[in-house]
Amino acid sequence: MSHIKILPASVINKIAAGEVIDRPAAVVKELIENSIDAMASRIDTYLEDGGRKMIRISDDGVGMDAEDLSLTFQSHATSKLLNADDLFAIHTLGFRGEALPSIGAVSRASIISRTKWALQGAEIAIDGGVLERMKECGAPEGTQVEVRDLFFNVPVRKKFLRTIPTEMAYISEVLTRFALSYPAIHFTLMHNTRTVFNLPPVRETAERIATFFGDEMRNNLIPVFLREELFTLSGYIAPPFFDKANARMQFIFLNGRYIKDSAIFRAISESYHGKLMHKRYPIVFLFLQIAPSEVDVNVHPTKTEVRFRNTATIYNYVLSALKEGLNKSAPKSSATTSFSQRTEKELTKAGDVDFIRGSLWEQFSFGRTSETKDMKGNEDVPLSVSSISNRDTLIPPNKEEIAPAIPGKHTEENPEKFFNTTRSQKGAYAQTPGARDWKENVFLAEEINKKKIFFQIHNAFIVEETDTGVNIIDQHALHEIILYHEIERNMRESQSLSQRLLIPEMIELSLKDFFSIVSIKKYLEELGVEIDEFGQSTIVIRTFPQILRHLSGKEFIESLLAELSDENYLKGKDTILNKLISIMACKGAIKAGQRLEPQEIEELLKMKESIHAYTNNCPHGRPTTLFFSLDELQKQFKRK
Amino acid sequence: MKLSFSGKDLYSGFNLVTGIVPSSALKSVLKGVKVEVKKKQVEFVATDLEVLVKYILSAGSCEEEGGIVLPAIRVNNVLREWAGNEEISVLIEGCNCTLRSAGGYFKIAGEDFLQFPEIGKIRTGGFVEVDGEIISDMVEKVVHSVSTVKVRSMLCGVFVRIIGDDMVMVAADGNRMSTIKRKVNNPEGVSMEGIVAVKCLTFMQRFVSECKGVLKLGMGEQQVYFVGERGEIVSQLIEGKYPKYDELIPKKNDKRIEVGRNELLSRVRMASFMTNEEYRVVKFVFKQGKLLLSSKTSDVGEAELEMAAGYDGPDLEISFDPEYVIDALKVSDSDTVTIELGDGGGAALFRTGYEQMDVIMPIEMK
Repeated sequence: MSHIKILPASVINKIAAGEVIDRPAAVVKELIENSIDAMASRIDTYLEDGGRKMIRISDDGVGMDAEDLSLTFQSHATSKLLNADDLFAIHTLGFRGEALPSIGAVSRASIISRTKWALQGAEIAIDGGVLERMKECGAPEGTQVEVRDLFFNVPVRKKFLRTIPTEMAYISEVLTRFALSYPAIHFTLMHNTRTVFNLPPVRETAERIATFFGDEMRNNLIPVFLREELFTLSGYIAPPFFDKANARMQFIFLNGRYIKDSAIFRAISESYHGKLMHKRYPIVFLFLQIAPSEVDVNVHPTKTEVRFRNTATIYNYVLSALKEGLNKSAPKSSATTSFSQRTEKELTKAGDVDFIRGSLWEQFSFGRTSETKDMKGNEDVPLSVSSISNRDTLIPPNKEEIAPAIPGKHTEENPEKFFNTTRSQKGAYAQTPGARDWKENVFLAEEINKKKIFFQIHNAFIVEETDTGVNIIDQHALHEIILYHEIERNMRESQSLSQRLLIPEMIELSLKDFFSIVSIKKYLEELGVEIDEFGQSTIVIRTFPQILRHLSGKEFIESLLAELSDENYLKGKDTILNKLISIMACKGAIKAGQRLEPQEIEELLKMKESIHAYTNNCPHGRPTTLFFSLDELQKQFKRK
Repeated sequence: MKLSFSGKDLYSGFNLVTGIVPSSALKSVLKGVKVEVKKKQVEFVATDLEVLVKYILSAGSCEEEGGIVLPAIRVNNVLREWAGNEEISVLIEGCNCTLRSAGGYFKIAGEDFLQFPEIGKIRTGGFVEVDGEIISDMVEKVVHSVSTVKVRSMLCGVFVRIIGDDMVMVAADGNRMSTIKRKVNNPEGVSMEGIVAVKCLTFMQRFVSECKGVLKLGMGEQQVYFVGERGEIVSQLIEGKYPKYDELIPKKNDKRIEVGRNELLSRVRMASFMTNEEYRVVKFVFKQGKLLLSSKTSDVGEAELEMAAGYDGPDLEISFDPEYVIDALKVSDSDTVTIELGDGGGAALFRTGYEQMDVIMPIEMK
């Protein structure tokens, strides 16, 4: 007797359902996809008990006539595909004809539908895979699918359903994705008579993003766009400081369909490389339009996985579009004037402002003089005294007795105010011999009154006054990221030069390191490091990049091995190039503990301003700058 | 113990040895100069534990023996001011020293001279003799090629080899090499070789400029000695095996080009104006009778310069780090320089003077 039997249709359907329908959110996804394929302009979702009890999706799409409706619960019945060739020209979200039979097999479902031209609608119901008779009924134009008692006949699956809030979270995620991908469609979601959201049609995805993730995110979004022959990429990316602990905020849509693709994820993380801390993920909303012939979406029934004909090209497109976007957008700093205006009033009220400033001015003049002398040797100079402002450095040392000082306790006032008031004090100094010079100073000061106070603390950090607060900068990290961008630009713009060695350098490595280096030999060669294997675990460096001339081959190989984790070896030239640039930037950057002259600090801050790239994190992902807003400070000091 | 010197002698001797005193040393005695009187001679000794310098003046009529360690910088400052004075008397009493000259005195606290590090007995196979200025000039002509990368420590010094009456100096940093050969007086026929630290050699140059005359050079297993009439320098040799330099000199470079040294130096320097820190390369194109030099750097600009060259072979193209070429040409005393090139990417040989050459590796564009 044969042991192999053909399964009954009901079991087949249940098995098939298992792949497509695993939880209420999957039902919602399949049904909404159908509605979108039916060209609906409004899709309403109604749920009871997180979709366990009831899911109802109604749309105003083209609807179905009675004949079509009778086939909907049949397996592989679809209007979206005629023959196998169509599989490679799919323009609709669904095409397998699996969703409705799968849903029908594990629930009590019914569909009511009416086309525009039909006078009457029709209704068909299915109960755990058992089709009931179709009947005529009155119905609005479009389709309404109602799914009750999901998994009533698959107790195992039912047991695996989570709590209502969890299932609701999954469903919201599904709806969020559709809402982002189809801004022109009106979506609503109701749960147990409560409206979860109501999203009228909008013109731009950005508005939907604002609805879901807030205006702050919308205001900071960086638009990205790239058009190639068979590929268009549009969308938005968030600046690195909106990072997340997981990749769930990376929305990738391919021809309207939400997908997950490892190549694109890699391109995203690569483009943000060096701008984010380790294990942090950027937020992106990317919409890819690719000719259907270039991509196979028929990989998995849920269709979140796809296969590109040319993955490397897609990777490069996404990478370059994102990098361009990130590089174009410079970090914004908003100017708030209200606070400084307010303090100005407060200070004027105090009355003895002039007195305070006068006495402080004397102190600081002395401080400056002694500090200039002590700059080289004396470590005992108090920090407050070594605070240098650009305004000070402007003034020649011999005119210090008439120089405006750093406004000591009142550093909070903005420079404009400072100079305005000091100008009004002009009369008081008119008798001093340097009165004429003073005027010149004021004039000069007016020209540069946008400059800020900055100074170094603990030989490691720079404190910088900004329009809206205070930056504390890690000097090494900032310089490192600036160098990183400079070197990267130079490397990409020019041919890389490599110096052939007169005396090839031999480096002995452990076996593991030896094979690691040998495995990336060809990438290293492209970067100008020609390596030969020599004996069992020794390598010989024959050429070396000119840009690394201050480094020995051994140092370089050791740093490279330390920077590259095992998985990096698989990622190719770009990763290794990036690591290489990080090494060079790190080696070249000023170190913590290094005392900086005011001019050097000024130069560093200038570089930070002028570089058109993100400088918020060093290439290793550590922050370069901590910002404390005046608002925050005021709150801390209970002034607000 | 009372000593007396002319201001000029005392200052030039003390100043010379002060040059080796380390600016920061854990042992305070190392920040000083040892003044020791023995056998009617006054020795001024300073060391940074790598190089030890001794300068000798006559003790005059002083018969006593003894000494003191004086704070180097402080005393040197005093002596500088008094360098023009006819006489400075030095009175040493225990760990105190009084310097007295016209117009005043300084009483300076010193340290016990017995605490000052001693060096062991000099052990060499023998000495050769060479004019101080010649050896100083040899250093001048190769020192630019010494490596500054600490990891390959043996390249951080100058290799000195004496065989017969030939003395060779070699310096290399992995990308280029400079060599020079001169004659020495070697009556005993000793052979010696070792890697000498740059610090020792540059100090030796200072020493020679102060005290002209013949220098005796000897090398032991670990040390090198320069002994002159007025003093001596002892230095640790750098450990390690120096690369076989003669194997690095290209032998098959059959294309020879003669160019004017001054002209080439100026052209290469000009071409280097259009390079930057990250991108330092100048292209040399040799054509019939001429040499074209060009450089091009994005964000900076480009330059193309032409000069006459004694060459009649097929067109040749090669690129170098301009700094290497400039370094080699700068130390050349010759009016013409011969460049010898081979086929495809090999080392270039610059003959920049009598028995003097630089081997420079080209730069490749990837």
